[in-house]
Amino acid sequence: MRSLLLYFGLVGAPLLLLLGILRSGEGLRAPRSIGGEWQLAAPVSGPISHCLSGIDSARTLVVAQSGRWAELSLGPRSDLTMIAVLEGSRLVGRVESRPVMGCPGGPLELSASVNEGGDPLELTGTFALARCAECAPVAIVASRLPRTRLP
Amino acid sequence: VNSLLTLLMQIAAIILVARVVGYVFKRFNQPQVVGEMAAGIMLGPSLLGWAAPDLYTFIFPPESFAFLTVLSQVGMLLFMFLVGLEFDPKLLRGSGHTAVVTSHVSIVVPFVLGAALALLLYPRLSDDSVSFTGFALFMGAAMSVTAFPVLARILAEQNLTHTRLGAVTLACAAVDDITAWTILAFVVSVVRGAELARPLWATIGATAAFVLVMLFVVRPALRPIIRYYRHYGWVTQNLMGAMLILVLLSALTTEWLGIHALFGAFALGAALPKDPQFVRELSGKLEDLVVVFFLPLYFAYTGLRTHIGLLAGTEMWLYTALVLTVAVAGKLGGSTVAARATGLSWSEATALGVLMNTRGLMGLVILSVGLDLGVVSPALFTMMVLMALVTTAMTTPLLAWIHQASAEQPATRRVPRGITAPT
Repeated sequence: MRSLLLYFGLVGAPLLLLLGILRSGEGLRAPRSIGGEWQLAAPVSGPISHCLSGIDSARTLVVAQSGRWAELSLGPRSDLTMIAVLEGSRLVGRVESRPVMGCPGGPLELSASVNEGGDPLELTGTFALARCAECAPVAIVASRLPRTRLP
Repeated sequence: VNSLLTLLMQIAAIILVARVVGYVFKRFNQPQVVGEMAAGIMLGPSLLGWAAPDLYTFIFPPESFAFLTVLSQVGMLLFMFLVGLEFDPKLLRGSGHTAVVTSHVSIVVPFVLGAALALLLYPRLSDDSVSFTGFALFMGAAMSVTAFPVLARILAEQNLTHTRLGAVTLACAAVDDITAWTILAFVVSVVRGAELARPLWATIGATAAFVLVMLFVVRPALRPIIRYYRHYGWVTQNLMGAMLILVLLSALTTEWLGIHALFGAFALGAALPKDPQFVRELSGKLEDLVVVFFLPLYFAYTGLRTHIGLLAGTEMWLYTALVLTVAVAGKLGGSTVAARATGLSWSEATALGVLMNTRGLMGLVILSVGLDLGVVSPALFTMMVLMALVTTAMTTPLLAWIHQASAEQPATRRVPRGITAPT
C-alpha cells in the first residue's frame, strides 16, 4: 500500500501536472517564424556596399531564428553575419564593421520589416553605417524560399 | 578543393582532435567521451570558427557539411544498434520496486519539469511554426534521457558495476533508455504529423505495430542466427553482412513510418537474442570502428551546429543556467528522492541520482533530432548541448565527492537478494 501511494505521489501526480502544463501552454504565442533561406531581390548595392566585404555579390540571406533572436548571414560570398532581434514584424540588427579604404567602419545597422501574412514572406529594409552621416543606406529586399527540413 | 579531399581532411582532423582532447580529459579523471564531446564543440564555430575563421572555413566549407552529415548519421545508426544490442532485458527482471519506482520517477519528474520550462522558453526561444505541445514534449524528452552506455562505462571504471548501487542504476538506466526512445518516437510522430500525409493516429498505430512485430515476430525469427553462430563458432562475414542489412531495413522502416531511423536501429539491437558470446563478439567487431571513427564524426557534426556566439547577452546565459538547473533538479533530484523513498541510504540515493543525471551522447542524439525537425531553435540547441556536456562532466567528480563524504561507504556493499547483479 505504501509503495502504491509512493508511486502515485511520485509518478501519477507529476503526470497530472503535465496535462495541466500542456493545456495552459496552448494559449501561448511564439514570435512569427522568419527562419530559413531568403532570396535577395537584387544584389545589395549602394554607396556603402564597397565598405562591406562581398555584400554586393550576396544573393541569399540565411536566417537562423531562435525565438526573438535571429542570426543573419549574407551569402554566398559575403562573410557578413549579425545577430538581430525581432519585435513583432520589425527586425533590428547591429554588427561592428572594420574600417577599410575610404570607409569609416563602426556599427552597421539593419532595420527591416517583415510583411504581415504574406506568402511568401518578404523582408524590406536598409543597411546603414551608424557613424557615417554622409553614407546613404543600402536597401535590402528579400523573399523567403520554401522551407526544407532535414529528415 | 575536391570533395573527397575535403572529407578525408575533415575526418583526419576530427579523429586527431577527439583522441587528443579525450586523452587530456581522461588525465583529469573524466570519461573519454566527455573530452570527445568537448572536441566536437571546439572544432565548430564556437571555438575554431571564432579563433581562426579562415582555417575553419578551409577545413569545414559549408558546402561539405552534407557529406559529413550523412557519414555521421550512418555511424549513429550503428551506434544505436550497439546500444540496443547491449540492452539486456535481464537487467529489468527482479530488480525490485526500488528500480521500478526510481526509473519511472527519473523519467517523469525531469519530463514534467522540462515541459514546465517550456512555458517560459516557448514564447522566447521558439517560433510560431512549432506547436507548444511539440515543443514542450520535446523539452521533456531531452531532459529525461540518460546515457546508458556512458553510465555503464563510468560504473565499470569506478568498480561499482557489481554493487547494489550499480545494479539498481543499470536497471533504472535500461528502463530510461527504452522509455526515452519510445517517447522520442511518439514526440517525433506528433511533430512530423503536420508534414506527413497520413494522420497522427496512423503513425502512432504503425509505431505500436512495429514494436509488437519486433517483439513477437522478428525476435523469435532471429533465433536461428544464434544456431548459425554456434555452428560456425564465430561471427562470419556473411552473418555480419546479414546483421547490417537487418539494421538498415529496420532503420528504413521506422524512418518511413515517420518516427526516426535511429529508433529502428535501436529496436533491432534490442530484439536480437542475447547470447552473451554472440553479443560480445558482434559488438566487439563493430565497437572500435563506431567508437573511434564514427562517434567523433557525430560529435563534430553536433559541434558544427553548436554556436555559443548565439548566446549573446545576459538574458541568453540566464536561460542557459535555468536549463541546466532544471535538468539537474529533475533528473538528479527526482532520482535521489525516489531512491531514498524506496529505502536506499542518502549517499546511495544521491550517487544514483548523480549517475542518472548523465546525459552524454544520448542527449546529443535527441537534440540533433529536435534541431533537424525544427522543434529546437539553434540557440536552444546550444544551451541544451552545454547542459548535456556539463551534466556528463559533473558525474565523476560528484561521485568521488559523495564517496569521500560518505563515512559508511555503502556503495561497496555487495548486491542483496532481489536485485539482479549485471554480469
